[in-house]
Amino acid sequence: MELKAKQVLKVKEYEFPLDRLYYKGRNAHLWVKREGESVLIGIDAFLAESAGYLNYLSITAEKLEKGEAFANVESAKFVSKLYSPVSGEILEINQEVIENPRLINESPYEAWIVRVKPASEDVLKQEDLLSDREKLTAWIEEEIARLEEE
Amino acid sequence: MESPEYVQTSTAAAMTLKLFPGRFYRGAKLKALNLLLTYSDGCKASCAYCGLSSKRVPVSSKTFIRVDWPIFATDEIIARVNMYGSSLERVCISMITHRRAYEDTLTLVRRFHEETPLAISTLISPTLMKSREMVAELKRAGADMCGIAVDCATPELFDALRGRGMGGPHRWDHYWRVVDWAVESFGRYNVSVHLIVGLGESEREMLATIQRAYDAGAEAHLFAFYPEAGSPMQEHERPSVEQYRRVQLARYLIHRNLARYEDMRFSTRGEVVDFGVSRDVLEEVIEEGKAFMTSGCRGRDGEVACNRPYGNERPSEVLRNFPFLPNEEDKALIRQHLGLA
Repeated sequence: MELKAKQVLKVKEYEFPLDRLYYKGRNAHLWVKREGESVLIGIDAFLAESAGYLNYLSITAEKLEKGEAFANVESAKFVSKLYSPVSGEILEINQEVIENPRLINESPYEAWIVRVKPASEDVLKQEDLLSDREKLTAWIEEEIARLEEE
Repeated sequence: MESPEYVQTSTAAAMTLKLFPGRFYRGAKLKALNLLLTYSDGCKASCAYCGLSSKRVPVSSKTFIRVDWPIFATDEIIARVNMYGSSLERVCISMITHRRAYEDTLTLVRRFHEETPLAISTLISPTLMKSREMVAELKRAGADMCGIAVDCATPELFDALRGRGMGGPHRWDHYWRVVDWAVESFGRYNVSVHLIVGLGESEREMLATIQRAYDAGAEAHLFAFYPEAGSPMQEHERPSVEQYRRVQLARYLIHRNLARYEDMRFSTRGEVVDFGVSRDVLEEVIEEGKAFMTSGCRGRDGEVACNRPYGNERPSEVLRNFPFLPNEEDKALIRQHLGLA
């Protein structure tokens, strides 16, 4: 179901649907979206755009630990680890996205990477998981400024 | 969409001009814009390793030197150089082997000379160059440096991979004749000879050719072979990083007049075993780090402008050509590659 415009935050050219949480940890830029008992994890629009067209995506962990690397993404000129926003068990890996990571560039909020069973309900109630418009806007503006300085 | 109205740009150039999304790993900055002429009927050569080869089997991703080269209008490139090109010092306009490429290169050199602040290199196809005068005209049009992609280190490899062996039009002797013409027009060391390490030559053969180029007044600019999918050499192995490091180091010693090819000693397999300088000199050169940076045409500050970030390997791999000065961690790894740790 498409979100109404007011449910999508826009910061400069980047869009953030407000039906999910955004991980603010260092080198993070992952989203977490609840789906029943599990959560989906994917890359937000800022990282999808700033990394460039992704050529490779690999999952490097069997279990997620909050703040620990669990995947690598790579474009023609950039490579980065992805750090998990939650602890939990990987239930499913999106093979379509592994085989064609450019789906993330085309549609970052549809192209989830892993489906996870969170270790507890509390893992979704952390200060570094943002859904608040103001906090999200402030953080993305900082990130844009940081990128422009690089 | 053909040249001179349109050109192909490297992925790095497209990113720098905000035509493609993306950024460079480790904060690298592109300092030279690489443009390639483009024609619907393509390059008429058939070099065995090249992504532009007429012998290449169609594949889903049409890469050249590892990455995509999207096509954009020349007007748009020039406008964006003037808007977003603050990190850029130079543009390189590369011919392909096509009957229109020479005239179109002249047109593009004149446009960039008149409409942008960038210094201009031309990477010419010697096969199209029938006289000294043709090379000299590129200089008069506004180019200040000239590159010639000899690529192969020996005449045998050249003939097998670019000449008769592939039914291709290129000839070794003519390439070197054009190197001489270019040095006459552009001046000593304003000319470069591109060489690809790992096409099947030994280190001894590569360094003999680097010395030949240097003695002729041309710098050698190095590339590490990277197999292009669909090309006749798609299964050919890449050179080891150790081989590439030895060639980089020896090339640098030659270019700095610290050693000559004749001073170096080689194993029976043609690997460098003695660079012809003391251990202290080697340590100094490694510590400085420049020997392992991308070799390419210079910018205003006399340092390499054509730094081609991640042009020779994926960013997740060990860098062959550093687009910036290697850091302490990089240098420790370089020492290991050279067996000097």
